[in-house]
Amino acid sequence: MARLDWREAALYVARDFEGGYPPAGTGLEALMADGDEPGDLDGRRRELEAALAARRQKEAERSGGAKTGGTGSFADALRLSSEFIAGVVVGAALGWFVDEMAGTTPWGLIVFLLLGFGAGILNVLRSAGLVAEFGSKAPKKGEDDQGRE
Amino acid sequence: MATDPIHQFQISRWIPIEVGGLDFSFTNASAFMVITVATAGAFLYLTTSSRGLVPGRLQSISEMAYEFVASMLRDAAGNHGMRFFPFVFSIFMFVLVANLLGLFPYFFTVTSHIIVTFALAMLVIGTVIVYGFWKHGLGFLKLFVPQGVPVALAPLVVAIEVVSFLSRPISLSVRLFANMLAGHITLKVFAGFVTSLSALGIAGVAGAVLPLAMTVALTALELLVAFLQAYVFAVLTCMYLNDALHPSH
Repeated sequence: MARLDWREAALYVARDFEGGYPPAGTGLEALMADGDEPGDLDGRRRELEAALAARRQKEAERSGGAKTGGTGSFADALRLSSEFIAGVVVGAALGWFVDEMAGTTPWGLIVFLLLGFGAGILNVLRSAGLVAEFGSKAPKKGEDDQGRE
Repeated sequence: MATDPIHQFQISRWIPIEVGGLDFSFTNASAFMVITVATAGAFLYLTTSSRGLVPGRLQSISEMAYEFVASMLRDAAGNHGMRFFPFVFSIFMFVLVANLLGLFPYFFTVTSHIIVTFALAMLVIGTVIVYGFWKHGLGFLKLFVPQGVPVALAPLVVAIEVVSFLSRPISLSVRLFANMLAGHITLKVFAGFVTSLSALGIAGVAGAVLPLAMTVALTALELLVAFLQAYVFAVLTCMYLNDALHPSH
C-alpha cells in the first residue's frame, strides 16, 4: 500500500492511501532503523521510495524473465492467431477503403492485403518475442538481428 | 429455445429510447455494463472504507488488485506510466468484473460482444495516439521507423509497421471477444448435452454424467480465462501506452 510514486501521488492515489504513513512496527522498521533521526516527512518518504525501488529491483531479478509463464498454450494459440488475423483483416479493410476512395479497384486491395499479411507475420513474431518491439533502437542483447538490415 | 447456445448473447431492449431516428435503447447489455461498474466501484469503495492498516480479507483483495495493476504498469511503462494508472486500473477492473459476472447463469456477458471490446480497444489506441502526438509531436512517428533500415526498404517497412500498428485495436478486441464468446458457447453446448441426454431415460441420465463433469471443468477454465483475458487486455494496454510515452527508446 505504500508503493507509491509520491511525487505524482495526487494523480492516482485513492483516498485510503493518501498521506497515511505506517508507523514503525509494520514491517518497515528496517527502513526506520538506519536513520535514527527520522528527519522531515519528505526525507522519510524519499528513503521509503529508495528502499522500495531497491526491493522491486531485487524481486524483478529473482523472478527473472518468467513474465509470460503460466498462460498455457491455449492462450498462446489464441493470442498469436488473433494477431495474425488482425493484420490481414486491417490490410484488407485499408485496401478496400483506398479502392473506394481512389477508384483503383483492385490494386489497393492487392497491395494492402500483402502489406497486411506482412504486418500479421510481424505481429506474430513480435508477440512471440522474436522481433524487437515497436521503435526499438537495436536488437536487445542476446537476440540476433531479425534480418531487417 | 433453452438449448440454443447463441441465445445468451441476444440483445433485448429493456427501455426503448429513440432520439432523432437513432436507437438509444437501454438494453440488457447497457444494464450489465451499469451493473459491472457499480459492482466494481462498490466493491473497491466498501472494502477499503475501513482503512485498516492490517487489511482484512476483502481489503486485501482490493489492495492486491491495486498492486497487481500498478506493478504491471510500472514494469511495462516505467514510473512515467503511472500517470495512466487510473485508466489502466479502470479498464482492468471493468473487463475483469464483466467477465466474472458473465459466469453467473442467466447473466449477460458484456465482453462477449465485439462492439464493447472494440470500443475499449479504440479508447486505448486513441489515448496512445493523442498522448503520443501531444507529448512528442511529430517525433511520435519515429515509432514507425525502426532504426538501421536501409533507405530502399524504408517505405515498405514503414508501411508494414503502420498496418501492424493499426491492427492492434483489432487484435486486442478480437482476442477478448473471441475468448469470451467461444468459452460461453462451449459451456452452453456441454450443459445442453446434459439436459438432452437425461431426457432419454435411465441410460441417458447415466451418460449425462460425462458432459456434466465437462461442464464443471469448463466452468473452472472459464474462471481462469476471465481473469487471464482481463490481465492480457491490461498488460497490452500498458505496452501500448509505453509506446506513447517512449516512441523511440
